Amino acid sequence: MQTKNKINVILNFVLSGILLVLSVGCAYEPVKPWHRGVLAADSAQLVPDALENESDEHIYFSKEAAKGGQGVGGGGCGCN
Amino acid sequence: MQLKQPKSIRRQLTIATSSLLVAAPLQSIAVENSVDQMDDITVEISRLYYSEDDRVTVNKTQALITNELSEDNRIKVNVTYDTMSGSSPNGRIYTGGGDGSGTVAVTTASGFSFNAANNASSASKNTWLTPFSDNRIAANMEWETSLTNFSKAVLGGGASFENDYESYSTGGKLLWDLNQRRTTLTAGIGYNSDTVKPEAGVPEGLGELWCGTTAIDLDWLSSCADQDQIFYKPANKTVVDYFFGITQVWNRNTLFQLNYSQGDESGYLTDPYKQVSVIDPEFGNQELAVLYEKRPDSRLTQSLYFKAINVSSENITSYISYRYFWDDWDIQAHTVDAKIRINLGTKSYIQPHVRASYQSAASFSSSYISVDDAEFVNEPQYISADHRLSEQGTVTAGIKYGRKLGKVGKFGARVEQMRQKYNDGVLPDMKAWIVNLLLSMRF
Repeated sequence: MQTKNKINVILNFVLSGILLVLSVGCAYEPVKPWHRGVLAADSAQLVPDALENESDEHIYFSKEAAKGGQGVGGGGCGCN
Repeated sequence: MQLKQPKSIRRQLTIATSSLLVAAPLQSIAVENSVDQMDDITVEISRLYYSEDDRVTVNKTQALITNELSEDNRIKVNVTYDTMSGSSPNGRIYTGGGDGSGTVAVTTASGFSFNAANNASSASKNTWLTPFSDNRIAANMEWETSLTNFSKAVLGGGASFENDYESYSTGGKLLWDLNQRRTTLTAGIGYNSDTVKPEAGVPEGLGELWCGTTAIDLDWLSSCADQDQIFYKPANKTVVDYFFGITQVWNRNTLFQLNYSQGDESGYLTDPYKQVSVIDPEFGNQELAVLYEKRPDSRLTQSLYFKAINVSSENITSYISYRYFWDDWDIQAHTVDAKIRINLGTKSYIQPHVRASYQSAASFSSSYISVDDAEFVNEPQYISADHRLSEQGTVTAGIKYGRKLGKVGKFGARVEQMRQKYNDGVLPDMKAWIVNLLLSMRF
């Protein structure tokens, strides 16, 4: 179970990071459309770089049992 | 007479609006974006090199062309060419075994044969690896169009070809903006039809690939004599994906996304190249036989995916996501991905990246069939020693450097290392390097 424990430690660490990020920027504010300049930037898009994202999806699809989550489709390979 | 200039008007309005309404420190970002989105054609090229230590090497080349046909219509065309070579774990026990007698030629995707009992150059040490070499070419097209002021549709389709695998896909999604565009609802559906076609056809699940001369103390295998190699024609599988999502602007700096996905797979879901060893632990895990694996012919996958993007200052953007995945093969997986983009002035940035995942094993996952194990007194309905269905963990860490090239281009380079560890205590850990170069130009 050593692998599981190590991975769980890492996951707990990163999940704590998620909670930290959420707690820092979590105050809800009904933002008007003209106040979203910062979120309209290319770098703040849900998928800032489509090809990089697609390459990673392909790599992990071929190495792990889990897949998807960001949309439909994916796969399409024999993936040894 | 040419009346077309809608993008120019939109560009000017966007720039003017951004300049007037966005706080001064953020102005450059907004203006940069407004220019990015308004050009007619964007060409992005990616070269990716993926190399596992002593195993698989992949060279991937991709080109993505985005054409803004009009204010409300956009077409994307994506072409991919992969070359893959090396050796992949086939499920047989790592300790090797087999003395070269009673061998069977197995034809791999690339069309060359290897010896089932002694399939590598270094005697019997590497029987757990199957060498292969293959190419893949894929093309996808996507059309995005506005339906109303607050909704749009995306339709797409694609095809992928390898020497031994074909895949055709189609799909679409609808997006609705609500709540003064603070909320976007998304619903999508996708359909994949895949054909796997090894040169010799797909083998019978649980059929014997190789049998040694030692008697096997299992009734259902006692007549093991290489007689079950019944090969069928190419096999098909279909996948139908459903997808529902909500994206919420939380405040001026934070965006959330939550998706639920479901995949309904049916048909031939077995991997025709994966095998499982029959071993006798009383004789040093001697390999007595090698069988082809067999998986169920249906699978229901589900996932919840959460992503948050936070722009905490002019120079720092954070991306963090978590996916919980589960299926009716009893696999559960947790995946966390975090990136932080740190601007270095106005033209370049660095972006550290960490990804970690853990998955439990499928109910029919087993590293081998032990003749001493009561579980295998009767023939198992399904079995797979494929490490991708076993309990395992993967950690990836790396960094990316990005830079603007003039006013119309972007360049990116990233280096990452991936480590995968398997909990069966048998298969060696895997380490891989990922090197990716990205170039984007607008015309």
